[in-house]
Amino acid sequence: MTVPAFAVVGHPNKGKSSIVATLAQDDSVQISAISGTTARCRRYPMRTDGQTLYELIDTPGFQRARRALEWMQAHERSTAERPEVVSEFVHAHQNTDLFHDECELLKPILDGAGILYVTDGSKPYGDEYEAEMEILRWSGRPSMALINMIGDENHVDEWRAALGQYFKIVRVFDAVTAEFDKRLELLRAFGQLDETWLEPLAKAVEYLDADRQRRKRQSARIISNMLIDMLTLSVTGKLPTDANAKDYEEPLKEELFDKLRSGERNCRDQVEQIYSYHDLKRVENEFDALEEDLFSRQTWSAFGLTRPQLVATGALGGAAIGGVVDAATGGASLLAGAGIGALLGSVSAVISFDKIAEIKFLGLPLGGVQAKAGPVRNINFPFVVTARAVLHHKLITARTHAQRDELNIGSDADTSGASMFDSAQRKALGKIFAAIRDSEPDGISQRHVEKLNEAIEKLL
Amino acid sequence: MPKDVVTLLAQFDADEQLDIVQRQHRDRGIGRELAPLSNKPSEQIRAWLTQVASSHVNRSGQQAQNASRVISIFSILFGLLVGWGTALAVFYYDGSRPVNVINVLAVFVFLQALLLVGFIIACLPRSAMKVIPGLATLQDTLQVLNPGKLVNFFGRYLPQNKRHALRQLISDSSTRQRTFATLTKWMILRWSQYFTLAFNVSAVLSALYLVVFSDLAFGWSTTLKTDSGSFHGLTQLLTTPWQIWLADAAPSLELVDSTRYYRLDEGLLPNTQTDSDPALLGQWWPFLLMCMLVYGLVPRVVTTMYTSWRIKSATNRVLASLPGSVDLLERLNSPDVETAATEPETGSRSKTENIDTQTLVEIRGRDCVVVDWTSATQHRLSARQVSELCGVNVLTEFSGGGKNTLADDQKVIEQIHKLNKNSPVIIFVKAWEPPMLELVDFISDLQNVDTPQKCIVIPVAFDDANQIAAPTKAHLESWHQALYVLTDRRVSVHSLHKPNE
Repeated sequence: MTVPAFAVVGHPNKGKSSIVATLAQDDSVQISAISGTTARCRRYPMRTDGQTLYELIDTPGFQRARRALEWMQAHERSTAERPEVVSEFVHAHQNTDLFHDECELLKPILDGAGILYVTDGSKPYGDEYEAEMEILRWSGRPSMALINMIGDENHVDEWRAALGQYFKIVRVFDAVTAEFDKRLELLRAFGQLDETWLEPLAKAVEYLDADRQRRKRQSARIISNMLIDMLTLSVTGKLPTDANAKDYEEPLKEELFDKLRSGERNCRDQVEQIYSYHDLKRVENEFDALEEDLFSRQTWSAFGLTRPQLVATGALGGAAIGGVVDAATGGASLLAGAGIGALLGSVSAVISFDKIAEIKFLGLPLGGVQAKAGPVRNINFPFVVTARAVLHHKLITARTHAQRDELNIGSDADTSGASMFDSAQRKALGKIFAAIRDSEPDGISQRHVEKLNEAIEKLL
Repeated sequence: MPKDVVTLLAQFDADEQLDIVQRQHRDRGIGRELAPLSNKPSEQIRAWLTQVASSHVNRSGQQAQNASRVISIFSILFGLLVGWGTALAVFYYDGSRPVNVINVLAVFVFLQALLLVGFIIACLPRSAMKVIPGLATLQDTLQVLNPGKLVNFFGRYLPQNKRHALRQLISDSSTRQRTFATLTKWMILRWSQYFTLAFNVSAVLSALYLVVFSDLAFGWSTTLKTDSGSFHGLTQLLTTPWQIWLADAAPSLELVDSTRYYRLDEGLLPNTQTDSDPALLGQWWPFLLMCMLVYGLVPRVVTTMYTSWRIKSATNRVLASLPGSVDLLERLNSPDVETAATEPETGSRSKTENIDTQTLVEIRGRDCVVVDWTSATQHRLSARQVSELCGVNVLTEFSGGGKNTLADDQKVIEQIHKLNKNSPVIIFVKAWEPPMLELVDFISDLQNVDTPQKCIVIPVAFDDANQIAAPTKAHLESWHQALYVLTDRRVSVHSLHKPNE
């Protein structure tokens, strides 16, 4: 079975490359307001595991259609032989400069490609298009006209009337704004050109749809990981014993927010890469530092024991000693020894905690004072971050690869924050955020991570 | 096992150099070969690793494994040393006082049982800790006090490469560490079990050595108010596991009764009957050895095996759940869908510098010929209007391009040439349409005479009211660009109005 191929042809500068960029999800396609940007055919095979299911071919536009048609008319023998005349035309001129673009665009059609003739429905129809449409008709290949909408004006009816005389199928397709479903729908429609193409195209649509879902899941995981990092991120700095902790507050807070912002930027880059955007320029307000008190001063002790752990150690030791006393009384003390021992041990640990930190062993201090900024405990914070990430994802998936302007994310998500989600979503997310926030960085359960992934995926 | 985790992390780091498409392409290729393992994620990842990991990447895992082995060997050696020393101390006998059976039981049975309880608490899942307040802190404390934690200390003395690899496994500084915190926990617990197992092996061997190569006298003594019957009851309880098949290793009431001694007693064991004592006293050591084996060694064999099993399952889980692993599994098991061009773009026409717009000032007041190319003005500009807008006298108007045949266009050129050859030619074109080579051909033919005429191309646009309006800057630029190829300074592009943005 031959692989369906579609030559995207037409007048120069009518969005052929835009259509190809959108359908092929390829931002390497050169798109320019300057006409005649495409000088050579470029092929965009849709392949699954190396097997080509269809192929799009971007072509240069017609430049001397009237002259080419006159040559063909001069060499016409019969209507049935018109495709041969087109072929002869290409053979006769393929190595000349005169009809370089015509030969380039006609070659794939002569090789069996279907024709996707592209026009701009926002500009009025003109007689100068007739020659090229006639040449395409002469090729005898199955064809479809696509009315692309480059500008704001609407001349679709005018175009439909004209195109209907040359093409069996005429569709309107906005290459720049077409959503993913519309793109798949168009691919399915290509199958109408030749019934043998129906099956591979249906298969291709199925694969593309599954691939899109995979990208969505991957994005959800990236956003979830960013959220977990943001919910648990803190920065610490060891302080000299005589330092004023407040002097370290602003630099540490700044460091924390720099890391948070960098994490968000990194997440954006990865999501864009997943959807095959490589050099996308983004305009986004980075989130502001929150006013809440993120700063704390804490004493640390040797062996990584925190104050509660040291208290527990003291209690254990005290209980053990008290237990010996209990044993000595043959149980007559009703475990009072263990209880009193535990109490004494824990109290002494509380009292001595700061002192332990000051002791030096082999020249190294057993403890010290550290300043810590974060993690951010503001309840609305993860909702704002999520809303921003969801909005970014939405804009990326709604975007096409024909769009070459900056991605303007705006600041709506910041202000909407939690209000972007309905109450059920807010409740579910809030629960997961709380569980993660309350976990220690190395104690976040895989279950919570998976739950967050699922919740984010539903939002995307 | 954890070697694979470190290798995988190193491979993920190395993969950062590849873009998503390259990774997808490479991994799907391997994934198709590994399709039979698609239901066994960790095995599939391991098989993938063997195919993609470079020697440099593999080295990271190997170093982690070597570091882990060094720590394990050290734990075992340390355990052997401490165990031997403890047994020597507990079984210390200088002839003045017998070896106190209670000491032996305290160290090798009750302390072991207590440590076992600590181990069990440390093993409990974090979620179970929430049931009893403070238990989580206790677990943390036990983990901090765990001898396995000494790895942090001794790890400092490893060579730098091994230290780095080890830190990847046990450090909690990296964000992805959270995924294998459980693995780290089990590794530390296993190192502690290696220590305890070695301790017990060494203690048993030490005790056996002392029994075989020295003459120990056992007795029992306590300050607590305990009679021989109660103590015998305790020993019976302890012998429960082997009472049926090894009755000789259970002390009799007679033995218990006769080997009790008090600190004020004269002689070694005052309660013993001198003629039967040697045989009777010998009955303690099988009991004590069995206690050390059953309550010390055997549980530690089990816990060591258990921690090894947990490490294996935690490694499998970690391999499949590391950030990046799920993506990897999807890449391995999902079709590789490619839609982009396979070749880089070639032959694009590059943008050239704008040519300057010549003003209409030069032709102001002169006689001109007007060509309406492809009905650009849509017949909305009369000769009079053109005269007003351009400040010229319109000699005559022609139509070109569009429905005209090439012969028609040629006739237009001939007619223009017949007119005053010095008259500039104003060509109105549709601003929104791209400049075509057909127009370029027309202009070339027009100028292909001895004294070429000045040509002024004026792109026109229409506003909403369908009135002639200014073209956009982009359209004007496109026209400049196209006509630049003519490289004839006598051709210029001009706008009737200031172009719109």
